[in-house]
Amino acid sequence: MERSPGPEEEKRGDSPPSRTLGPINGRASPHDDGEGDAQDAEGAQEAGVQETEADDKPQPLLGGLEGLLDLADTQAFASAGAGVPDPASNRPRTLSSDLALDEEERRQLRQLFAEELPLEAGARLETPPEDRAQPRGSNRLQRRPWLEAVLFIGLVGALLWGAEPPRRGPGQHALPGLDQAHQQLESLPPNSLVLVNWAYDPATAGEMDFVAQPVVEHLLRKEAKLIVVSQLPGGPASARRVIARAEDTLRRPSRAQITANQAIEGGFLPGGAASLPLLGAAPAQALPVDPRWVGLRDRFDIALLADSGPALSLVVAAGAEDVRRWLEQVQPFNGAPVVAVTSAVADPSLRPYLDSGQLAGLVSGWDGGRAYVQRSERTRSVAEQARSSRLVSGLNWGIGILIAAILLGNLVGLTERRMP
Amino acid sequence: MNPFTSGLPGILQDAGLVLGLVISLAIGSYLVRDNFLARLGQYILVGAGLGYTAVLVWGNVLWPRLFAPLVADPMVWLSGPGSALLHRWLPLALGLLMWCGGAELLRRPPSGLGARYILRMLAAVPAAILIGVGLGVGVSGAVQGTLWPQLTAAALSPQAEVSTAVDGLPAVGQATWLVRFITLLITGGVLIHLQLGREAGGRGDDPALESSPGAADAAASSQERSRRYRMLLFTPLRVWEGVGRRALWLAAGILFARLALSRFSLALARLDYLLFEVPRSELWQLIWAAVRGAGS
Repeated sequence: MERSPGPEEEKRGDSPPSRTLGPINGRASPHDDGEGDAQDAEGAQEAGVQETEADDKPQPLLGGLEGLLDLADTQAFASAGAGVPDPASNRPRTLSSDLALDEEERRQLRQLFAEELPLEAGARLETPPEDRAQPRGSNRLQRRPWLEAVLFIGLVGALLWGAEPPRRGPGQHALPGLDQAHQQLESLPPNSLVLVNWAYDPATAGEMDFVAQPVVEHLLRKEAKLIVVSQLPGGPASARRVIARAEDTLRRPSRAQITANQAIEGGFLPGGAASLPLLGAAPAQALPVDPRWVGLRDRFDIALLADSGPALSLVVAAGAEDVRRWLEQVQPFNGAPVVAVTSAVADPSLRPYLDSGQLAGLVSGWDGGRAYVQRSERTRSVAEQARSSRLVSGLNWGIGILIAAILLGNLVGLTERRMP
Repeated sequence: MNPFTSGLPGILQDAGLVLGLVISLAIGSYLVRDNFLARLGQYILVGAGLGYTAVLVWGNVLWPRLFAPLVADPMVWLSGPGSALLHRWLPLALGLLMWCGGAELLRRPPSGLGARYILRMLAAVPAAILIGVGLGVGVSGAVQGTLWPQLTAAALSPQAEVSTAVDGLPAVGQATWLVRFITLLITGGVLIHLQLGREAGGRGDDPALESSPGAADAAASSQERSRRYRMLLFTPLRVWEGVGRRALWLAAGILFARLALSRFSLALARLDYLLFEVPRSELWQLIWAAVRGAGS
């Protein structure tokens, strides 16, 4: 795909450096292994053997990232050798540009590729054995059934018998943003309007419910008014379930009473990022709910949201992208502090926003949710404590098994490398 | 009772639990091998999701925001401001245009100029508006919400973690500059690695780099100058690229660890649901009692 330097250029040494083998052009394909290449290339056996050896070397998991960006010809730039064309601007024509297909041909091709291979009735598609074999040095992860079985047994065993609560929770340094999030919610006066973006659905509810519920309980205890919108079809239903559960928890005897309807269902807001700026600039217009259809009290709250804006924005998201989108599209308009409640995987990507002050607080992962409950000083029922303990215990077991597997794999790899 | 309170009777909530168990097991059977039940579970999931989305869009957007106001006041531009026309009829017209254009694109292309050809041309208008607005919003958002605030925070304000971790003010300043330097070093290194790869330090088989300085004759003096220049330029570049490569690995490791944590949480929640929540439901206990009764 790249312009190949001519022999004269290679001799001079001022040719553009050839890109290292990438994930596409450098990885051993199951259809053409190195040995075949070496046999085919008569007169260049030596080169072929070298190529084979290079292909057989195991490639790292992140191999092929280099050269991801367009190549800049630094050598030509440094030696001031004018006249060397920039490969980025001198791309060869792509296949699609060579094949001038009209719309009908493209439609037929789409149909052709959409169909399955015609086989006899009851016949199975057999792949040649050389294709089924995993090529050495390929980057594809291999399934290890024994590892899956050990993980499964470990997780189930920890759930059934590992209900002992961990002696120590995570340290403060491990959960930056948790204290700030708690302080933000604690400082809310009663009847504050909180705009909640519910950006997770049942697919990630297993993790997110555990993190979101303590924060929602805290908001309800502070008698905040929640206006909940979601850009996911399954979002409103997930929000409904978690808020109902939080209300049930708080309604128990000796707990703070929920005095009135504290949650307004804003509904489903389609349109992705394009619909968010309106939510920041004119929230009453953007809310996918017609004020004439809601109760008088809710209508007043929506009008108040349009006049003064929310006192706080809460983004409950499984991914970092939803939080980032909110910070880019909504916060610059309404200026409200944003607290994010996210899954564990989103945490590292959101730390820069926390450090820059764009995020006023961050609660992430089960460890974050558990620490938030401890900080809220809420007495939990025996069933809640038992569930939390067995889940955290199971998580610790799973991570422990994974760490052991990684260490063992590295040891085996080192041993194999030292063996002749 | 508020909008978030579940209106389902208890027995239906239990039915949801048991149905969830059945579909979870059906899809989970894919771990053993691809089979009819696993595919059935996936088809149910996709079909139910699409149907649910269609109902949600109608109930939350199309009817209350578009059709109900139009039905209530079709001649909205006569009774209301002129912008009402833009807010009501124009979205409907663009939506219909896109819908009809999409349906038209499923058919064979027209042979000549005609109504179908014009429809195909006009259907590009709402698509162009969508793409243009999406791109404009995305780019402006990235600048105002990420690029500029992050640059400002990196250049001006001391990092919160550093300022809280260190007591003395001069030490804070030093630590902040150190953090900024490391940030710059790693960011630059990663960019160099992503752009040039391991060849950031020049090609290893370059004869100009491998020739000994003593062997250079008078005719190659310019080449010698070039070689020194390259060594001065490319050695730090190679080191910098190495730092970036290792930083990339470190970041990938951290992300993988958090991803494993997240996915283990999901697996555990599902296992906990199967082992503890389903057996506690009344419907499950009824079914279980019936099965045991039938067995005895």
